[in-house]
Order: sequence, then structure tokens, then C-alpha cells
Amino acid sequence: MEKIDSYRWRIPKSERKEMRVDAVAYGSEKIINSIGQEAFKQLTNVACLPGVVNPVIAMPDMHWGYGLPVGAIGAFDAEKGVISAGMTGFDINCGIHMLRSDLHIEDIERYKERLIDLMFQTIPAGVGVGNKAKLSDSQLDGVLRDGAVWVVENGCGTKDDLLHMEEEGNMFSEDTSFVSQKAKARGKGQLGTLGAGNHFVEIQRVDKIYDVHVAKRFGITDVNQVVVMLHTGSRGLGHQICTDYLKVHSSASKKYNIWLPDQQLACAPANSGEGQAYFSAMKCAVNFAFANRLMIAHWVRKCFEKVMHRDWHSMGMDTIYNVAHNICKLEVHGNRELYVHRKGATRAFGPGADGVPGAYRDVGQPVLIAGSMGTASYILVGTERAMIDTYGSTCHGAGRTMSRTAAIKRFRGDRVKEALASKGIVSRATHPKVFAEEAPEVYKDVDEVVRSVDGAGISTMVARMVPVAVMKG
Amino acid sequence: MPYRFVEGIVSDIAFEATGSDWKEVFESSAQALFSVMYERSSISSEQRVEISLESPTISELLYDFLSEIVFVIETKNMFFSEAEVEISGTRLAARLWGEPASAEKLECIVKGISLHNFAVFRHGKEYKATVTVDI
Repeated sequence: MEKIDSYRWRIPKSERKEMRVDAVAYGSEKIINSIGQEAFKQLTNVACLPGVVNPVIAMPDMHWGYGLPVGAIGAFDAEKGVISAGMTGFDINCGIHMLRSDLHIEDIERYKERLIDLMFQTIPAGVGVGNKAKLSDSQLDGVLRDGAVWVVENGCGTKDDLLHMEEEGNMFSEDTSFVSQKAKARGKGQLGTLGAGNHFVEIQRVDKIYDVHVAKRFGITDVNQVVVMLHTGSRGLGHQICTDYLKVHSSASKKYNIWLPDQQLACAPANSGEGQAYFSAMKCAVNFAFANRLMIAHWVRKCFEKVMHRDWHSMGMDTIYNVAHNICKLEVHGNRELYVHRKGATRAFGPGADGVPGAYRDVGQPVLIAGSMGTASYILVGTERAMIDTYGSTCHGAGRTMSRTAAIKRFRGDRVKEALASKGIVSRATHPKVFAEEAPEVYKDVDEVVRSVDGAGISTMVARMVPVAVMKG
Repeated sequence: MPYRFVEGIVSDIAFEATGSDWKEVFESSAQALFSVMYERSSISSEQRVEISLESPTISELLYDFLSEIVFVIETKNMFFSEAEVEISGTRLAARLWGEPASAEKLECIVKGISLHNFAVFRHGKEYKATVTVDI
């Protein structure tokens, strides 16, 4: 690996005879040294696919996953390249919705347990804790077609929320017929459900403000201001779409004679029927996820109303942004139309870029970075440098360093919970094992990850938040 | 136990299932999958769900079988403890035994079955599968 500068490292295409383009990894030397070789191998696998655009990119939170490593971006020419269900992964449009508030830590300190308990009762986790109501066929089609717009039309959000979401909460998928009946069956009972694993709702307080001007534009004005971050995706509906199209793309890879260095990178030519069918279905999953997060944000507001005895508007609980971390999008970079696969990566469009909400157009798009349980999270802002260097992308979180099985062996859930409590953090989870799996020690240092992307100039720090109360699915 | 969890992949869980024929490999794989989600021994066998599948190859049959289990668990809201599988060529008939799902027993939600390192193979009398599960 060649060092380009303090935060960029290149794996030249000469490294493997099958590589068509270079791979570039972002991160400080400390971060790069902490990433296992398997993740770099997976990164170079993506550089072997047809129509891949130079370079394939790894973010400092990259870790060994399946197919494209988590924390990476693969962009493909819209005419000569591929679209890959496996590269986007199962958790389509897993991402973050963030609410600001006018409240300060002292306003909620004595209510934080009640708030998180009420959220735990109100927001279903998933299997075995299904949603209160199943959507009808036509309601589900509405969600798949209209995304978060459907939620607003049904009284659980506002037009202002939509104006502060990636794609304004709707990727416009007119045709829902590319979504299987199985995927629809999984989605019907899961709108407004959190899921498990690394999905969460977290009440946070602002710890530091780095960029006062941009922070103010995002609604962050004070240290100790209360915000809420929630992290989930398209749930079983998206998982099933990936399962369905992995098979379709496996067959397509053979049909179109595409050599796969990893079966999980199953793909189809971007302009083929198989490629476009997946893109249509994926957009439906993206819409479902936008709607899911807004629905949960609505319930978070209702929980605050009930506990604080105030209307959410009077507490200023407006949406800062709702952003995807796992997605494939058709975007223009360097005058070329590209299918950009972001897996564990955040769009980070800079000032003036199309696609940045009007309210933020002059400063750039908010980037929402979740830390590990018990550690800091960040708001960053997209940059012009990201538009040139990384297809308008940056990191998405801390990034795991230890497998879940190893974490369960090494940590005890009750002790992790106690450690959080000793820091004044209230926590609830459906099962104590989740605390062990998600122990802060199994993740990289999020501060170092964020310093790396800030140092590289592909997104810059706006504010740092620390947890007050957390609900894990 | 004819399956074991394999260390390695950071974000997900991988297991290896073995047996003296495909039936045992499929049954063991199902048990491994159940164990990812909950403590299998805590689940009773009071209800039965049947699955029938046909796929072009034995490898695809295992992938379809495990994916179908994930689908059935989510849509029927059930947890299973045992799987009884009959295989004829690349056709499968399975009976899953379990109980209604409960929040208290859920340890982990499986999103899907990855194709990363997914393999079924036979060495002499030993039949084997390696599976990576996205969680």
C-alpha cells in the first residue's frame, strides 16, 4: 500500500492482475493499521468488476463484511458498469434520522429514564414484538412508491421533515411490481419497527461545537442542547429484496459472463433487465426505510410530549436530517453518470450540489455519524473535496474491530450496562446479549475515524454529541 | 453438535455444518441458524410448520432453505428448535418445530443469508456446508 498523504493510502491496480482500477483507503496511519487484511482483499475484489470507476474507496471505519466491506464505496459507469444487490447488502437504506430540540440536559435529566422506558414500550423492535398494525396491500404500495411522503400524508410527520431528508424521503419508484410478494409480506408488519443489533434510538447532548456557523444552520446552537439520533433501515422488506436479487444477480453474472471474485458481489449489467429490476426494487426499500425512520421519529416526539407535557413543536423537535448509509444511487460525478454503491458510507455532498436540501444548499449536506454505544456521535458537513475525491461520500460510524461472537465471549451484557450507568447513561435492550455484542470496546475510536475524514477534507466536523439514554433493539 | 461457529468475519456470523449426508447438513445448518437468533434449548416443539422447496442445485437448495426459514420466522412470528428434513435430489420437504416468538427470547435478528464464502461440498463420506449470516 502506498502512502499518498497523512490520510490517504493507495492500493495500485498492479497489486492484483484482475484489478481494473486502484483502491484508495482514507484514514490515519493508526486507523489503517487497525484494519484487517481481509477487508482490503474485499476492497480489491470490487476493483475487479466490469465498468468500475477509478478508484474504489475505503473509509476509515471500513471492516470485514461480505462482498463490499462495510465502510466502502464502489462506483460503476451507468452504461458499461454493473449494479449489484450483494454489494449494497441486506440492510438497504440503513441510516440515521436526527431530531434537534430546544431542550437542554438539565430539562430532561430527571425524565431520561421515563423517556427511554416509554420509547421502549412504544417503538417495537421486530421479531416477536411486531408492529401494532399491519399495513394493507395498498398502504404498503403507497409506502414503497412515496416513501416518507406517505408518512406525512398519514399525519405522522410534516412537510418540513421531508425538506430535511436525503431525496426528500422519496426515491420515486413508480413500479412496485419488482418487489416480491415475500418482501411485501415481511414489510407489512414492520413499518415503524427498530430491528436489533446495532439499531438504536439515542437521546444525546451536544458536547462540542466545532463550526458555529454551520451548526446554527443545522439547528445546533448550544453545548448541552438535547438531540435524538435514531438508526434503522428497511427491515425485513429490504432484507428479502436483497435475498431475492442475490439469486437473480447470481444467474445474471453467469448469463453475462461476469467473473466474480466473491459470490456475494453477484451483479448484473447496469442497463440490463436484471440490473434495472433490482434498482426499482431497491428504491422501494429505500422509500420504506425513509418512511420507517420518520415514523419512529414521530413516536419519539410523542414520547417526549407525554413525558414533558409539552407539544413537540414548542420543544423545537425538528428534523436536522435523515440520511442513508447503505444504498446504490445514480449520480453524476465528473460529468459521468455513475451507479454509486455506498455500503456503510454516507453521502457527503458539498455546498451548492444538487441534492442538498434547499435549507442547507449554501453550506453543504449534514452527515450524521453514529458512534458506538456509550461513545460520541458526530454531525459533519459535506465538502467540495468529497465531490471531487470520493463521489461525494464519507464514513458512517466507528466501524467494528471485533466480531459479535468474540464480543459475546469477552464481555458480559450486565457489566456493559453497569459501565454505561456509571457514566450516567441510561440503557435498555431487548436482550442483555445485545450489550455485550455492542460493547464500546468492539468498535474503533470514533474520534479518530472522524478526525481522519476531517483531516482528509471529505467532510468537516460541525458538532460532537455524547449519549444520555439509549434504547437498543 | 454437528455445527460450529467460525471466527473471522467482523460484522456478521459464520458457521460450518457437517454430516454424513445432505439431510444432516441441512438439519444442522437450520439448528445453527436458530442458535444465532435465540437459545434453541429454550424453545418448545408445540407447533409445526412445513416447507417444500426445489432448486437447481444442492447449494442453491441450502441457500433457499435457510432463506425460507428466515422468512417463515419473520412472517409467522415463530421461533423453532428442531428441523426435520427429507431431501430427494434437489427437492426438499422440511418440518420445523417451535413456538410463538417472544421478545424476551430474541437475541439477534438475522437479516439474510450471505453468499460470501457460501459453499456446500463433499469429501468422501463427509458432507459439509459453510454459511455466513448477516445479522
